Amino acid sequence: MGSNKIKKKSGSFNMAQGRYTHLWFLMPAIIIMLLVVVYPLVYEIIVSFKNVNLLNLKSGRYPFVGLDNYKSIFTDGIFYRTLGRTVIWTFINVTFHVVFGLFLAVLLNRKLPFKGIIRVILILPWAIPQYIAAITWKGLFNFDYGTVNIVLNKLFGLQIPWLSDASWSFAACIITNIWLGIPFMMMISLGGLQSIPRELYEAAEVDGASHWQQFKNVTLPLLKPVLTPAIVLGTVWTFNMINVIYIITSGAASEEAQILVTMVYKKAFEYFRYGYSAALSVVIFLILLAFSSAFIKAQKLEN
Amino acid sequence: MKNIKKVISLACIAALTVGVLAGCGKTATDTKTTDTNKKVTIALWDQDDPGAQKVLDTMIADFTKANPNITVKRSHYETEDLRKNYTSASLGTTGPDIVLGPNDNLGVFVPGSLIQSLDDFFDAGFLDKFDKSALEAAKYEGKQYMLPDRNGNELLLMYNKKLVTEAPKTFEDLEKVGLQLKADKKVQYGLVFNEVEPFFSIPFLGAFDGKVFDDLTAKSPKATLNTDAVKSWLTFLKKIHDEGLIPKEADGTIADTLFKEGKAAFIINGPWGFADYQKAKIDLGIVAIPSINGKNPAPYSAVKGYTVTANLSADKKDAVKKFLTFINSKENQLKMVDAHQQLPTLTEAINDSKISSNPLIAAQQDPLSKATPMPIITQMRAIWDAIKPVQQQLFAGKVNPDAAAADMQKKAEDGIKALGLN
Repeated sequence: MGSNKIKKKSGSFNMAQGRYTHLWFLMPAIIIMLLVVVYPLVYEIIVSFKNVNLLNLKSGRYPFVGLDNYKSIFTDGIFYRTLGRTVIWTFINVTFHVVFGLFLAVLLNRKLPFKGIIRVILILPWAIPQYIAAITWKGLFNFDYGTVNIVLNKLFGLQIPWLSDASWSFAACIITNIWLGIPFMMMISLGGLQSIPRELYEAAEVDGASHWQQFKNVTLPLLKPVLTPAIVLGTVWTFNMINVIYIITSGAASEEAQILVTMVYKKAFEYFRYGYSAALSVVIFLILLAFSSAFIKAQKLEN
Repeated sequence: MKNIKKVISLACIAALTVGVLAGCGKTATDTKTTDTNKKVTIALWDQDDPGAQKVLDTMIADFTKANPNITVKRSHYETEDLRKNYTSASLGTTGPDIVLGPNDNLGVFVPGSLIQSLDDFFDAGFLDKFDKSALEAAKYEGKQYMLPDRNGNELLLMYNKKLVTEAPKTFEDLEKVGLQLKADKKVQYGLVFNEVEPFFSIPFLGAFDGKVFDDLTAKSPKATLNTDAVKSWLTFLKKIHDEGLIPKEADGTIADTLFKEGKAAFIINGPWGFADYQKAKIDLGIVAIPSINGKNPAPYSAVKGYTVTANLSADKKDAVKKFLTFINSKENQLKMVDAHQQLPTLTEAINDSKISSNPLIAAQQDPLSKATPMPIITQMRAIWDAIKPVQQQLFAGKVNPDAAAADMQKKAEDGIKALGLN
């Protein structure tokens, strides 16, 4: 009797085997994504076409200004200089992240004594909250009392004005961020390395390949599916790394140490130009979206 | 069996969905009744030092004992966070009812329609009990937007009596003593102060008769940063930096640490630093920043006080009034003095013997008389943002004072335009 009833309802209401069961399971996640990701994104895009500032924020009545916010972004020289600096910042950081991360991963992949302890020490930069790490590095960069200058002074007789000179403060931010980002790349690479079967290396050795040739022809291609998403993630995170810059430059007051995202923060919360900042955020979003799609497509094409 | 499975799986999905949506609900406060015995919760946001926060908490406990139906929830925020969170909170319903902060917040809160005027908020005669100049500083566009609880915030010169036996009478004396101590290797630096925030270098501008705005009472005050006064001020700053009187690089923490460890003879800081230095067992001397070329520097003075949110619900109004009256009684203002070491604002409290017998506060009379009220208009943000990076470049030797002044002026004008004002 029970099975007859179920057969009748099978197409429309058998929850466990229905056509839409998977949707029901995804529902909670979909709802959260809609509320936390999609809604703010859509709201931000809407705000970017309006004039929202301190005077009218509370009233909720924001006049529509079309592309005015975007026009003021693209006609301002600062935008292009900051964009250029952000691209340089991202490129240098991600390159060093990958190079050092991969290098350390290759080292850790061998038989090493105390590998467990070394791995813990190398993970530490990732474990420390970014904010704390940035404040600590800021102390290390002080001209007179920072460790960096003390070491430089003993070795080379040099003392660099890391924090007072805007261009040097940019260098200080790069150093700090590289230190912060290496563990992530290292762990991803290590995971990827450990999934490469030993036989491939043995076969390559039999064919007479050197270590470097093995690395180039066996390791790198097989790491690509693991490194590609990591690089995309690393690029997006670095492009928007506001913590390190804001803390080490004590508020990104100087133009020579700004990146796009600190501009958004300042314009939004110190100058209350919410419409302009929303537009700038949309521009950043589109830039990163374009980069990610292009990068992933390029990787797929190579295969 | 399959039916039960169906029912169970349906129930689980329903529970999951409800669980997700439950977290998104708002806790609405019931604003319909005006029953004075109903439980009311008022939210207080403060931007104050740890010592003052502790005193606030004890006073809140006392208040709650006397008024068991009123709960006061206190949250602490730093300067920038307070402004950011308050403006964002104005869009919803979970903002504070009372904010304790400095009077330059008014330049943000009033244009943002976040707070209400207190001219008619309290019972008649309440505001007359307060010091007139303190009340003046807490006004914005002629209306009383803030109830001040302390008057001061002025920068002064503190010296380590172990290193410096006599207070310097002029800045030139200070320079000589400071450089000599450094040459004798008794200190690392003669004078230290926060070289990052322009708030600490602006006092010297007054000694050159400089001002940052042309006319604060005008409808659109103009920035005056490209003047001879400013150029002289920047030349002075560059001189004391290059000659080694002040460190090459120093933020507030470095300055404090050097002074507390006895590695600096003089420090320019405010009364908020007293407690810290005394804890470090520094024998403290306090004077106004000495004159430069016979002219007195003019640090900015400010008041700190309480503002009330604009859309305060009716049942909370009584609770807020009770709380603010309680916390600004003579005993409580004097209790707060222990924490902030500045002048209270209730006239009765100012005349109390506790104030006149406290050497640290008595020593502030002179510096406070030489201070000038800090501009609190919205445009002031543009001034700070213009001076900060250029001052950094000046110290780094990348720009000379003349070019720096012109750069500051341009940045200030751009900043004022960016604020949407002119």
